[in-house]
Amino acid sequence: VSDQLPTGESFSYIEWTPLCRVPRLEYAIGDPGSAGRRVRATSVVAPAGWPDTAVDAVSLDGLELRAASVRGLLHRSRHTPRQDAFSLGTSNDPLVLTVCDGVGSLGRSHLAAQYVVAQLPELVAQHARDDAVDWEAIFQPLSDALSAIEAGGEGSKPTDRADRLATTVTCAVLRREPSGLTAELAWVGDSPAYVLRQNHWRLITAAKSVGEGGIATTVVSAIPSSHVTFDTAHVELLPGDLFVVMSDGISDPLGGGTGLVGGALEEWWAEPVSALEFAAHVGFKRKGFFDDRTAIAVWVLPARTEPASETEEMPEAATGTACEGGTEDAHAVD
Amino acid sequence: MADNEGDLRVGERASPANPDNALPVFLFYLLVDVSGSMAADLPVLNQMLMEFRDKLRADPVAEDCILFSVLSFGSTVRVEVPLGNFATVNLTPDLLKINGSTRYSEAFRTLKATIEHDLAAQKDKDKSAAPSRDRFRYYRPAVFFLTDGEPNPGDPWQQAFTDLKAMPAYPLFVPFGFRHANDVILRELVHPQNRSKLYYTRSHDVAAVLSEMLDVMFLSILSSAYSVSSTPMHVLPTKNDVGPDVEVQQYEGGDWVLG
Repeated sequence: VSDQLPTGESFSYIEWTPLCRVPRLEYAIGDPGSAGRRVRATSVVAPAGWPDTAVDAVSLDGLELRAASVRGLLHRSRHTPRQDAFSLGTSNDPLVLTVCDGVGSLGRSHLAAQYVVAQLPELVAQHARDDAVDWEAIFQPLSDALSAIEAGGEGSKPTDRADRLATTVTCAVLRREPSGLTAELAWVGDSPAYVLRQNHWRLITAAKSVGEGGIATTVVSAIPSSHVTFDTAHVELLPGDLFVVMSDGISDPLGGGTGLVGGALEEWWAEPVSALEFAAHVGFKRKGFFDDRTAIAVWVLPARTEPASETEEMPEAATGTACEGGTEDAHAVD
Repeated sequence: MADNEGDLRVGERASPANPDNALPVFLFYLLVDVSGSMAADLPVLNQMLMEFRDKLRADPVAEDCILFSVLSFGSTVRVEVPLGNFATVNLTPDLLKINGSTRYSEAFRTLKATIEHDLAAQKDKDKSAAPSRDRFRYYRPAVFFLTDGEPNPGDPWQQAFTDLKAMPAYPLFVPFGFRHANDVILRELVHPQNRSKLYYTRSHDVAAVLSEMLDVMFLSILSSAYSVSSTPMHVLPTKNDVGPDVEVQQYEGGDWVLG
């Protein structure tokens, strides 16, 4: 294991040598349970080829982004597809980060989640004003488009739940402003966003309601809907912050963030990790938690004291107006 | 830094009260009639319990969030399988044995005491565990009550059932009736009326309907376990999920208090 790459970037990696065995990247927080020990990634019966896990990473000037979506143990054990999805819209200004969690009781919700995350970056680009996004102009047409997909050629909503679809959506729009980095959030449903700041997980979006006997009793909003209702929030991000948008597959075990799960994620994500390591973290095993897991994490790096000549400069960032052209694959370290 | 905290509060919402969400656990009880008239049915019941145990062993997702107990009742009540991980229980083909007459009252009283004891034991176990250990949250118990007959004449079962319903952790009570079971009495045992159901058959092919009813119970347990990854709830099979010989009676709406 070396601390240095030829570029001089500080980097930790495992150097392959003959007979070098790398341990399988799997994590548990507390008891992994019988399912955590025994349920493996399985084939998907339909749609064939739907990926078990999706991973992405982007490095920008001052920001490190990682994203992963990992199929839950319940879907794996039933050979059904992952219904979570994400997208990193980092080619335009502003950055558009989207997480969707398909509604599990409807058979085609994975399609809804995938469709929405694919559409959001472009829709936000179309409806972004200087300092805010016109979410009204985005969500209802998006919902109507999903209704049309659901209806297919029939013109009406299918009656069989296996043919229906719905998804939550949480979208974060990151801007570099003269005062610093800001995140504008809009969401339908219960996929939350947190900021990890000074060792505390803070929930930015609304918490799940808790009903009789302390059991969470959620009525989850989702699209499509004839009248979409959404919430918004705005947060300023500081150097050293970790901003995470996630599905409830992670936020359910994370809760308020002061327990085992909050501690483990804080320790693992104290600094940016590799994309594959991030996916392994997101897929942590914990008894009783079987849902799909998705997270987009943004590390807001502390200000550098000297320029890094190896990284592509982002002249727009200096004026706080654009990030276009500043993307590069996290693995393209050379 | 205080200044930074202020920035964040602009969009911050209240966090859940618990530090992290504890591991969800469903509690299920099978309260089964073993009075004399059930003699021919017990081999089927014993066999199906073993099959369910094996099914649970092959389904680690369900195994992780279910605790299951079996109680038999006749003249007396026995806890045949204490509450625990049913997948790991050693079962014998003669677990359930014939035991006299049909005393509903004794069954309900012992069930109430057993649930109270089990919840207290879980609470003590969790309380004495190290702070770094996993925490649990227990969903309301569900009881599947299987009987082929009426309560003994004069059996004060109503009071015992009223006491059971008055528990803070009262169970979802789901009656299953066949052969000589009285559907009028069983309808009174559906509790809560708007969440539970009665599964009842008039078929004389007892072996077949008994299998169907147990399948319904086990499907309910597994479906409830699967719900923990979305919204935890008791899932009771509908008419579409059961065979043609089993009637499903459920709440049909209406809760007016005036006018």
